[in-house]
Amino acid sequence: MTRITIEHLTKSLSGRNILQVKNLSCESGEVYGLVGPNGAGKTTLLKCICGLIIPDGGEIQLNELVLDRRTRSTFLKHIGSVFAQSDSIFDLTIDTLLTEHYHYFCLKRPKDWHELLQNVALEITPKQKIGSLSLGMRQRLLLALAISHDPSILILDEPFNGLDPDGVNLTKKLINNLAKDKVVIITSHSFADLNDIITQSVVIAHGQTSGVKKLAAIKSDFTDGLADFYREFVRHTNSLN
Amino acid sequence: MRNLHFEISRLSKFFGSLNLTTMVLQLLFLYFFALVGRFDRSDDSNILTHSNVILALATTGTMCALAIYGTVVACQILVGNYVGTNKSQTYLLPVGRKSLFYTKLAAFSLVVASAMIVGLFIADLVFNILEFLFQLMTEQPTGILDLLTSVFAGTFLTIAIILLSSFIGIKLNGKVKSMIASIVLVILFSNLAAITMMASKFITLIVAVVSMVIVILVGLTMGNGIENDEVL
Repeated sequence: MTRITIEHLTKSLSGRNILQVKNLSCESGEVYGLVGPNGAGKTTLLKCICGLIIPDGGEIQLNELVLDRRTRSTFLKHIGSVFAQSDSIFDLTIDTLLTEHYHYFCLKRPKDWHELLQNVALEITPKQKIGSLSLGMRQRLLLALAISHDPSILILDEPFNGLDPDGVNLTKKLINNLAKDKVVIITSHSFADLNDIITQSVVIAHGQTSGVKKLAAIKSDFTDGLADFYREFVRHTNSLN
Repeated sequence: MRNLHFEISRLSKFFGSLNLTTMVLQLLFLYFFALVGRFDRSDDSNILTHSNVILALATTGTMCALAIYGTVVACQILVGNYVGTNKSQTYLLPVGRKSLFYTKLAAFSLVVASAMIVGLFIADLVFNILEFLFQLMTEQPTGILDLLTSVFAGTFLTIAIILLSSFIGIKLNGKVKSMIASIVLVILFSNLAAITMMASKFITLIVAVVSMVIVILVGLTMGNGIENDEVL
């Protein structure tokens, strides 16, 4: 079983506290929905887990492995992530991007990329430039990349952005399959999409997180389910700030 | 070493174009200055009858052009990986950030250096051989030692300009800033290179080696910065 724990994580920027996470624990076999208003700290928290942002204090642990500069490379072997698309990859061909990924993750390169691309319903030639793909196709390509090395933790920041309904359904299906033995953490502003796939939820507002709550409990405790859970926590943190 | 081989193999597609560009530019510049020296009888062009001056000016011209072309290539394959949100893609690879940065720098430098050294040497050699057959200069062509010194000095200076421009682009977070830096550095270095190459090739080589040492020191500092960098 994989467990990721976050304890007393803090991060300030220009004198402003942007993260104050007391305790958070996520286990494999669950899909965690991280919800919050714009600027709440969702992406910042995910970037801290991926080592892209160095917190001022606190600890992030993957099973027994504590994340710091020395263990960062080892930590990253267990993480697959999709953040906002960067334009540095637009001039690359799909083959080049996949080859680089497979090399640095020490994976054996397959004879062709057909099966990998088919897993995310992409019928494209590997010689195509990534910039020539639509936003949704690029999103699916990055998802294929993120899961290619069988990570224990899958981090998806707004995975449904730019996807057509078929793409959204395919992504949900993939996430459900992957969650069986992974920790999956996703962010989204669409409660409808989240309600379909998450099993647990965390709300973040002003850098502070609610506790992890099972979706079933949220639905029974709140009339409007996840939306009410979100609104109540945001109201609570607004009153404190 | 495994990562270095991988990065070199990725860059090998640029070797051909860099090599050919170097050869063509060097030959063009050599013949240009040789022809000016031969047919322009004004006092100012007297120096263009000396083979070492022609070689110095040609190498400087090639160096300037290649520094800018090399920076364009570096922006695509090096600087682009370390600016803005593009950094995420690079920093999410499960390899030490500093080590990856140094590997990319080493691979880039090796490919550019080998393309330039081969290109400059072949162009200078071809020019010297053709000089024996169809003499343009009034002097004998430069000896092999002078030739090799100018090849290595020109290569080191070009790489120094390209890498310094790349570092400026990474530090200031913009590929365009790399290009502007390369133009400014070319203007600064080219005068120094031309004057020292005409005076003494060995002084030029020392200047080139010192430039490379400075670049290496700056590169090491950049690596440390990248290790502690954040993608906000």
